[in-house]
Amino acid sequence: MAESKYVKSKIFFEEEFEEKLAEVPTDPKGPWPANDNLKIIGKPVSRIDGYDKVSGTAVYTFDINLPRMAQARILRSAVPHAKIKKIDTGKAESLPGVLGILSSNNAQEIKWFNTSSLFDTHLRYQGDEIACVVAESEAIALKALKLIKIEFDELPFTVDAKEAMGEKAPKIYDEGNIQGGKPFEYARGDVDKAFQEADAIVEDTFDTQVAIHNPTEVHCSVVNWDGDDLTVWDSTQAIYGVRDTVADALKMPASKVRIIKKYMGGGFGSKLECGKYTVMAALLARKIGRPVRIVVDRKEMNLAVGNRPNSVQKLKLAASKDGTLTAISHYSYGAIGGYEGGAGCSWPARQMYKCDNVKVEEYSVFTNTGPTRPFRAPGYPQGIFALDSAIDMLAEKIRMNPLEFRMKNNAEKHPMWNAPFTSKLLKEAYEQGAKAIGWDKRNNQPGADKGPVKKGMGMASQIWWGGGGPPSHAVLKLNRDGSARVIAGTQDLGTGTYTFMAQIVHEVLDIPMDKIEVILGDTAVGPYCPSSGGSTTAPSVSPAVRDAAENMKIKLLEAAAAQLESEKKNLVYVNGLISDTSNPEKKIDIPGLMGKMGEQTITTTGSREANPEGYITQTFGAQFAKVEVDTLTGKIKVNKIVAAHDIGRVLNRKTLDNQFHGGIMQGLSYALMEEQIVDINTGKVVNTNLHDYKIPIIADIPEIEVIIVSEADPMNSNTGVKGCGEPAIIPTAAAIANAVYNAIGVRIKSLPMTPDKVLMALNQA
Amino acid sequence: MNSCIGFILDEKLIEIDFSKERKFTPTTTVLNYLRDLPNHKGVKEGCAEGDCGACTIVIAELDGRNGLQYRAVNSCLIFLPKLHGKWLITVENIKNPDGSLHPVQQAMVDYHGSQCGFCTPGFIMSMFALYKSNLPNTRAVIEDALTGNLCRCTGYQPIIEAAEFALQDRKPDHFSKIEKEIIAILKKIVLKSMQMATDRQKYFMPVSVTELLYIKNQNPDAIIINGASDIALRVTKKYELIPSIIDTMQIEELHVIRKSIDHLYCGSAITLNQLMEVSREWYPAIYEACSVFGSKQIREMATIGGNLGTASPIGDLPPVLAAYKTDVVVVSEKGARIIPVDEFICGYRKTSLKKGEIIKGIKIPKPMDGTIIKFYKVSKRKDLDISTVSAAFRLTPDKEKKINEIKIIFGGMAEMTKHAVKTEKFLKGKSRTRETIEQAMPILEEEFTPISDARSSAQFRSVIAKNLLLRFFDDLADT
Ligand SMILES: Cc1cc2nc3c(=O)[nH]c(=O)nc-3n(C[C@H](O)[C@H](O)[C@H](O)COP(=O)(O)OP(=O)(O)OC[C@H]3O[C@@H](n4cnc5c(N)ncnc54)[C@H](O)[C@@H]3O)c2cc1C
Ligand code: FES
Ligand code: FES
Repeated sequence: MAESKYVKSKIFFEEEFEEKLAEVPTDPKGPWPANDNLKIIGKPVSRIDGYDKVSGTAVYTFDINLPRMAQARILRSAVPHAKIKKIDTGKAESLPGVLGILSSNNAQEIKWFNTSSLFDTHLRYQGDEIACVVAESEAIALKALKLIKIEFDELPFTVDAKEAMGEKAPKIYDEGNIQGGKPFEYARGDVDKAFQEADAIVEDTFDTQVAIHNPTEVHCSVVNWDGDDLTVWDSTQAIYGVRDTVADALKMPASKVRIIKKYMGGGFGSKLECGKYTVMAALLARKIGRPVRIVVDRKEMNLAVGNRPNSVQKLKLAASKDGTLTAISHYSYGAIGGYEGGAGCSWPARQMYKCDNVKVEEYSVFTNTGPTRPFRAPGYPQGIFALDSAIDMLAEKIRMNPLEFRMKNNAEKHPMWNAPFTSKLLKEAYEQGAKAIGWDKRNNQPGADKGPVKKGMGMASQIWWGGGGPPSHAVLKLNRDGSARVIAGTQDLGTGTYTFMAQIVHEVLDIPMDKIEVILGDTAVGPYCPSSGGSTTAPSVSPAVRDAAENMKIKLLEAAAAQLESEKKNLVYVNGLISDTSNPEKKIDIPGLMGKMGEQTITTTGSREANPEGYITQTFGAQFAKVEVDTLTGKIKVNKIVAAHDIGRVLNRKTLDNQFHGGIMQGLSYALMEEQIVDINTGKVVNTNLHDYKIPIIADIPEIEVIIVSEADPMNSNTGVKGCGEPAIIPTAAAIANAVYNAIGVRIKSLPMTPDKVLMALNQA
Repeated sequence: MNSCIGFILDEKLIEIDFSKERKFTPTTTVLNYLRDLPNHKGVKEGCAEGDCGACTIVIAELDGRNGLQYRAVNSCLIFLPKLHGKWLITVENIKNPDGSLHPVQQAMVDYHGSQCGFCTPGFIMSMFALYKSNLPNTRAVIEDALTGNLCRCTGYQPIIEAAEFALQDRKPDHFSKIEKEIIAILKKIVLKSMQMATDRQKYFMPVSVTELLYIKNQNPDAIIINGASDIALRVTKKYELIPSIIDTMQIEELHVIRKSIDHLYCGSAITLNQLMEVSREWYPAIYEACSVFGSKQIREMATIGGNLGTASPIGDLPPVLAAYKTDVVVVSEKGARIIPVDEFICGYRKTSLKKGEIIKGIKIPKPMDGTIIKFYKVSKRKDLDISTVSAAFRLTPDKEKKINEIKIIFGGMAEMTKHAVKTEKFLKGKSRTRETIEQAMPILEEEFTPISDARSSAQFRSVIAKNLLLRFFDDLADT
């Protein structure tokens, strides 16, 4: 068995560094050669779960149906801020078919965030949970919700972050509305001095909207008790995270809780943590002694299961005549709703460019609005939108091409820690992207086009984490017939985890793809892997799978040596055949070898190796947009996006393109259409359905060209993979915004750039 | 009394008799019905209001020429009785009997058209309906057919590629093989007057206008539904129990299309898709309005009568029909009346229908040669979006190129579809110069006081209204 050791591993997850004690292998496998020299890695391989998905046989959590299963639904606050005085469930309880109701009347006190609890009598936003009904059918549960009578005192509310920061604002927590009591601050160099000495300064305020993930499958769970063992099917990005939250909430050992998630209809971050609904369903299921399914509908999804928070960003940038970026000051605030969250968006300002003097001050503010949750690159699309808009403004001021300006301020080392990167090919991304879009044909004079429809070109940069890291494990089992099963406690959100795990096993062991089964999304069988967020699944899990497969190869060679009575050093493993170089007669294939072992299976494990000490792993890229703006209607049409990125090794060209196309379209949507709207007079959300909350349809897509400038990042892991899901969305809105400016000569500093804003800006210009 | 509907599912005749049925009611949606069955969970729910297409199914029905017509529709907006006499096809039925994939499914695998896959069954159904149609596999046709299907993961490009490939070469599939059998079963299902009553609800499906008017007289509070794309939302979203419904689906007189030398007549139950097809030649602006109306699935259900009956201030048909000087034909037991569409809509969601009257059809005169009519819609998204502002313009120049006749009609600018009367008056008789148009701008601005709402601000609406008029005259310059 392969040796292992324990290390303290630091990995960057969503917005923070996490340090974990992790088991890592002591015999890290060497890097793979370039994809051209590999058999299946990097090739356009169809997903192995394709059949299930197109035939309608894929079972999602939403579809789980157990015998005697009851249905639960949640009653939510209709007002933004209130204190419950009394809940009368009498009428609802007597409705035929109602099986049980939980509320603060009868539920045990379960701590949730801060001083709040599972059923809190202090309602902090429209959508906050009040009660949960379980019934024979969903229709009955919904009817019962209407029969619950709530007496409450409405409290003054605040839905605007700026107002909430003020002295007079109603307090959502006793300690005040600024999370942590103070802003997050960061500084390097001397910003004031740099501004004094600057040749050019730009200063402006940018704002971005609240966006809702809106994956197509709503949040849902099905729970079932068997004695005191609890099984939960959950539409989740984090099976282990949900297991721990449920176990802690119910005060039971984690070993008694099993979380299963096979197929899920997207998440984008909104399903990264356990929801209250899962715990409520577990409590109700125990109470009634039946399995319970709980669904959060589209409206609830648009209120209560997370958002990308808004931001208001005041930026001030300075440069010297030669194009050196000399100072960045970033002040921002955003509303995080009634519960723990984060509205920070200053990471790009701190690390995108080489800049000696940087100052950051950012506030996450409690408001009576829905909660935040990580949304595909939390903080980055908003941060890059403001930063890269300001960068373009600054470049224009010193009469420098914005591409050249970015090239000049490229950071060779990490600007915050002065540490080297395991790999960084941002310059290559700039060059190849610019060439593909035809950057040299960009308007020199913004707004120069004649006629009402004007064309423009713009670009923006991308930075993100995505290096992954340990702990992350895989188990590989080889069966009598030479078929394999690879198991990991990770999850596939549709991103392609199933497929790349099989590809890796095939690459190493030459087992045919259709003889490889992948099991994931089950805490009872899969060894630990981290949650699927932060673009870390492939960079964390792929090396563990390769490690397991390489360990299997070692074992097979040993077994073959015994079987063939050969010396191990003379054996080679080529295309699934083990042969003795000293005696061509001696050879055996995998099914043959396995057949010698009867019903045995051979099992190996594999682990993700440690990240290299002292280095930083990040992903980089640049996107270029071509747009046309109709100055009569204010409509922006994106004609083309070129995305050039350094994301390490490509595992599968099809799943990679999927990630980029999907991410870019979400970025385009964030730039142009989607936006949650809250009525400041009532504190209520105006658009809680897909009719009014617009996401793009098929006719909205531009031409998209994806260029990967990297081959692999061998220093980072044995597969050299970096993440790609989040990089895709980060620069899109900023690139479009810069292109719009180039087209019309007027800058839109507010997202989304709706026809409304464009026309108003044109009218004022 | 006939309370039993019959339709085909999984190639078998299914009968639901609402007088005995406990689980399903006449306003149970096809989506809820299917998801209650053990073997149709492939049909997904993403919104339950026609906006995502995850619930898309295909309905095949007799086409009157001994064949079948396949239409993709949103099962979340369809009440069970609407299946009567039809073949309900779900994603589970698409793969070949031996388990291998249908060409549209195989293409979706090969081109990587699913990521999470939750939207995939819906896309498969829309693509399947297209496969069974004789429409070409152009990008425009594909986009139009898939507009009603949202995908949050893939960015659509692979789905377009899959569709383009699958539709290239449409060989007979396993549906073609059983069509004859299915047609035979469907022909046996009698279309008859039906009344489905439960203790709390009545659902009528009359077969003639006379019968409808009689029922309406007996049940004055009954709601008439054509496509039900508006009314279904009251059930699926507001969980309303509608006590009495009259469904026009089986009334042939309301499904007629008649073209004569100087006008087009359409029955009120003509769908937006049908209207789109017949208007292509004579009424390009109606064609344009239809092409940006909802999604293909919605257009398969939504009707002319429903759009007028709803009288929404942002309904897409009223402005463009007004530009064509369309008349609405209404009938009651007392007889028929003809009302110009301008007068038919008389307030916020108000029509001039009197008690006992229903919309029978519309009559669209063919415009004279030289008359130019155009429709514009401004909304956030390209399609499947309610208008922020829509506008229809009609201009007839005289010999000196002066403005002989002008009609300027806006949706979304007031509580109802409205003419810019003063602007029309000002422009009439003037010459078509930039200067004249610019002089008209302040008048137009004066005429409307639009409101701000979630879709956009009042100020934007004012500016856009003026700009659309400019756009119209700009576009004229090109003609
Ligand atoms: C997802 C979605 C997208 C949509 N997009 C658009 C859009 O882009 N543009 C747009 O304008 N609308 C849109 N709509 C609204 C709706 O589809 C249209 O108004 C449609 O034309 C209604 O037709 P229907 O037959 O489905 O109406 P129904 O729901 O059957 O009826 C609507 C109303 O008209 C009355 N009515 C129906 N028939 C008659 C009759 N014969 N006599 C008297 N009254 C009658 C009904 O009683 C009811 O009040 C959309 C709706 C949805 C759900
Ligand atoms: S469920 Fe979304 S359209 Fe029917
Ligand atoms: S693949 Fe996830 S919504 Fe389309």
